[in-house]
Amino acid sequence: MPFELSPDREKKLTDLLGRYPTKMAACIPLLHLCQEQNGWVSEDVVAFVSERLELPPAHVQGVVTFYSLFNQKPVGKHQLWVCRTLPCALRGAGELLHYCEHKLGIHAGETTADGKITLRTAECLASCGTAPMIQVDKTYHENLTPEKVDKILDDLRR
Amino acid sequence: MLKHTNYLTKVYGVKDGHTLAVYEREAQGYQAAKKVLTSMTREQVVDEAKKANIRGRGGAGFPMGVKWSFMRPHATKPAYLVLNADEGEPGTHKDRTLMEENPHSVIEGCIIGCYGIGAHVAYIYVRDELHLSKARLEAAIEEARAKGYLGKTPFGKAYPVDVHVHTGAGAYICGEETSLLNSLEGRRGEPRLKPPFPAQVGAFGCPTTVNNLETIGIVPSAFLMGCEEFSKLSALHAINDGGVRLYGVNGHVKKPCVVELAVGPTLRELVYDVGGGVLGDKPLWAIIPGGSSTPVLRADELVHAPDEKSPLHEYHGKSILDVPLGVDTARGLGTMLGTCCITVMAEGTSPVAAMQNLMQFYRHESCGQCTPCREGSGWLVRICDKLMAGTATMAELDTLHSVANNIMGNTICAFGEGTAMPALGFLKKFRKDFEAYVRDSQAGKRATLVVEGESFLPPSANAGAQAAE
Amino acid sequence: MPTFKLDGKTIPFEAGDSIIRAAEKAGVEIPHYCYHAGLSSPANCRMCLVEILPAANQRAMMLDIVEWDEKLGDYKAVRKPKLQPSCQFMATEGQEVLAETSTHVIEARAGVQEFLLLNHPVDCPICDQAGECKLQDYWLEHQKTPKRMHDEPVHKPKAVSFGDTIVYDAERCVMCTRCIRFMDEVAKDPVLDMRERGNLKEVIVAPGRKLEGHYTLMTEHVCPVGALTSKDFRFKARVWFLKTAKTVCQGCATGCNAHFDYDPRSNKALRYRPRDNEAVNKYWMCDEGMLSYRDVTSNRVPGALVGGKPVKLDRALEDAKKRFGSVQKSSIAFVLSAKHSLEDNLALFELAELCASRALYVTGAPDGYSDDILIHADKNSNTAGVKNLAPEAKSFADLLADASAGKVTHVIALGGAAPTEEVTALGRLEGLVTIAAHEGPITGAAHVVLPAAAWIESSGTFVNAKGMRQLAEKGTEPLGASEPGWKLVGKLAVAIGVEPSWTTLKDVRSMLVATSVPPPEPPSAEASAE
Repeated sequence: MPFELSPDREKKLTDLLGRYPTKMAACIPLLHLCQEQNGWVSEDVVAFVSERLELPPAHVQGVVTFYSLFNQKPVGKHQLWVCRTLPCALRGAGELLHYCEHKLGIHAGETTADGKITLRTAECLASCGTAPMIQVDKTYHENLTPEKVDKILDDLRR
Repeated sequence: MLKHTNYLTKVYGVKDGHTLAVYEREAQGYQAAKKVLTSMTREQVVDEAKKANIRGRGGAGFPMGVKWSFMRPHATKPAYLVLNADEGEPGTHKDRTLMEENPHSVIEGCIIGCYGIGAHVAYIYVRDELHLSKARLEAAIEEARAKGYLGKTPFGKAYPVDVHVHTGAGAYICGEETSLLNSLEGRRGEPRLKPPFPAQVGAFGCPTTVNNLETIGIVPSAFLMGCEEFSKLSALHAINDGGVRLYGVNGHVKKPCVVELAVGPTLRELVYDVGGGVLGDKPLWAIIPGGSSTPVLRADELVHAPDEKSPLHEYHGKSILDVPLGVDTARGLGTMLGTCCITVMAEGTSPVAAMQNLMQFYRHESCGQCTPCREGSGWLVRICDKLMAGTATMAELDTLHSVANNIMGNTICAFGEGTAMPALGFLKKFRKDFEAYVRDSQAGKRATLVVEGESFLPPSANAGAQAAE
Repeated sequence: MPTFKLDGKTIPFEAGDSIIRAAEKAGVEIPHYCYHAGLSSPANCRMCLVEILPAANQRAMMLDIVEWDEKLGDYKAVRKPKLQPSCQFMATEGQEVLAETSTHVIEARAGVQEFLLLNHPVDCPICDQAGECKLQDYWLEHQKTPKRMHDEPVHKPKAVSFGDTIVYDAERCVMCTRCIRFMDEVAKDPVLDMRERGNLKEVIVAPGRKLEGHYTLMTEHVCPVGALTSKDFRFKARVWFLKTAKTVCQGCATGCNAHFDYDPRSNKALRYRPRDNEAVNKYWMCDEGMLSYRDVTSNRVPGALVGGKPVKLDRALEDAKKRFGSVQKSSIAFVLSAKHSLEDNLALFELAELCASRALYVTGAPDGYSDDILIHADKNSNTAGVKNLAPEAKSFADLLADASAGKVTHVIALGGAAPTEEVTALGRLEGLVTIAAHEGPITGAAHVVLPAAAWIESSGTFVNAKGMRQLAEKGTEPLGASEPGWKLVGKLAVAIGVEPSWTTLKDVRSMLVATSVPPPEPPSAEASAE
């Protein structure tokens, strides 16, 4: 079935289109809306976006694959991003990542068997002063200790 | 010289500090915008802005007022103000605090900025990961609209101004201004060729000024007190580096933080007074002064400025840690002030591991449009990986600088330099360490980036976690 | 004309010319991958970097790099000037540009070349581009250093089918985006784009689509390396064994200039490539045209026919003599062909004059698809030429009507093509001889068919829809027993008792000068004599 936006997101799209002088400018925000609803950017989503914004599908596909936050395949219910870049690494991001991998039983880039959590690494998330850190979906968890990570993971698994 | 100020940070930590009510009550919010729109002409705004000597806070340090003066009214095309809040330079964590804690200073700055450059719309390009920042900015925009500060007649003046938040989707390169414009227009975030510059052909083909978020955020404070007065707050006012700015301290310090200081603190002050000293009271080893693209400084370096005309001459022979830090003084040290957030490293940190970590970042974030950066960034990582794995040869170590040399300056945008400069910096400053990784194949396995006992895991747990794997 | 200096040599330019374009026009090549005169300049390959000397009152922008100092046992800080892409920078009056004479440019080129080959598979033996690949040419010209990276290169998709005509190898791709830009800017169908970023990039076809339309083969043509290959040409030949003839595409009235590549050892046609001509086809050809090199063998008349049966040429001429020898010469009708060269047509026209016949008609292929890029609805290569030669000639429909009414009984024609398949009226003719390279409705109806050489087997002149007279060189040798059309017209003339006024191509060409056809383009230097 072709992809369609939910009515509330359709309203958001209308608002978005009013912000820019071109339809193309809504491409990235609209892809976010679609991914929010669909979990990932499927071929149907690309077709939808290209039709609604009157863009060539190749353009939309090019955009989707350029940006690392667009999922090109289905992911877990929650996404857990461990910042790996130097300032976090200086505060133990390497250990933090190993700790998460060990606790979840998966490697970075994989999803737990129950489909709940996808573990990934992120490049600098502008949280250098509160390192090490993890972004869980839309929330930052900073100044992490093993205890805090245990609690985060327990909450997610629940 | 360390001088704490609180023009931007006054509402930081205050209950509801991000709201309009608190901004107006505590920080004379929107008084500057009102003054500007009701009593000044556009030309006066630009002239006044030049006096503030606000050097761009995004890294390049270009004078903001001069950038504004490049904008010429176009017969048919509108002008745009675009704010760069794609904060992603490793080691940079200042703009986020401003968006989260004091979004109204940014919105007010947008009103003044739009008026100054002749724009009616400002876009704030925020990286998508910063969800709280986006929410705070959106809420601030709503509040300002409701009050009439944004809209058709802000402060009774028939000069419509609107502000929109636009998001990226995970690409460091979009912090490069032309790449950001492509991303704003809904394209792949690949940098554009310059010329034409954004002031001629920017967003949607129209004249555009791209300013860093903090640059615009400080504008209301400058206009409120008078731009020349504002500039004089800086220890480096005399060399056109004015006012106050946000300084970040991260890495191996006891108290990582973001603070507001008059321009011109020394690295020593930042590490010890602001950052509380080095973790575990270890000796200070090296500092990346302003984001990962700025070449690393060794703590034991001395200033070399025998030329009397050099702005650093008075520090000749002294420790680099005691030079007041500004755009031009940092350049004099052979590095860059960059984003003004320093990454501190204690003795014992592996320069090879640090460079490997950063080169991985640049490989991952290269847009891949032009050859030297696309292929060179990947090559640098390969050699670093081999050094860490103990399989690199001396010939490969000797290849590193030529790869970086061939990237330097040969790319479409400054990302190439951003990759080559830190690579050359680490090599130049720590060549002997790199050689040790060639001679001793086990060196990489012992390499560490953390200060023992001061990391995520206590030493015992660390051993346990590794054993469990 | 304003000028600038490139390595000390004065180069003239027109306003709007980039440095590389001005140099190109002056015959100086600045090496490049992404730049193409017919496309926008993304300046992404960085091969065309040059050093632009600063004006007297300006300073060069310098960059800090290091070099290894063996004596010091340490790095030494050095500086180099910022180089600029010559495809992006406009030429300006008095500018001084260094390329070959700048050590920085020489180093930068070698650097770019090394980067491009870093992850390249270097699979030249199995690559169709070998022999005409810029990576190969430039390695020798600008790099000449051994490989320094000996680890496993980055792997990407190989032999990806982009559609019916093109195969893509992402590992050979240099990401110059020429194919993407061609589809977007010239073919007006942005079906290609780039996916991923950094060194994981690759060219993709839009999801749910394939590379299709009338201009897909141009993506292979603009590809400077072996990333895009044509399914038609893949694994067919080594280009260094091929010979090239400068010809004109016969597919329509546009008259695209083409290179015709063939293997002289086997007399085998292998492909067409566009030949740049700003005034006609710029740098492009359509797919139908590109593949029409195959017409040299397909649907041919390889030998003479009488009543549809193969015979020797002498036997066919004898048959023609029997049918035409006793006929009043001035009653013979002559049919010119818009698909044949001016030389062939002129010979037939001349024969009509010698016969004092006023019955002239013209035939050709029916109209077809057209667009506003290159493809013309008129599928004949010489309509304008024939029109100029014999403005009074009547249409093929008139011929059918006149044949039906018995007004015409004996016809000598050129070609097999006709604007219609319905030619039963020709069955009423008492004599129909045609001199044809390809089969068609007329050969089907003819009593005698004489085997003409195809356009590429004989030098010929064609006038395109814009009225430009263009020379096509001879390439392959005539197929089977075929001979140039104008020569066969002469033999036929003798057979029916008329003394022809020409014996050589030179004779025909000199008669051409006297016609009302516009003056010829400067003939090609390599035009082969027959």
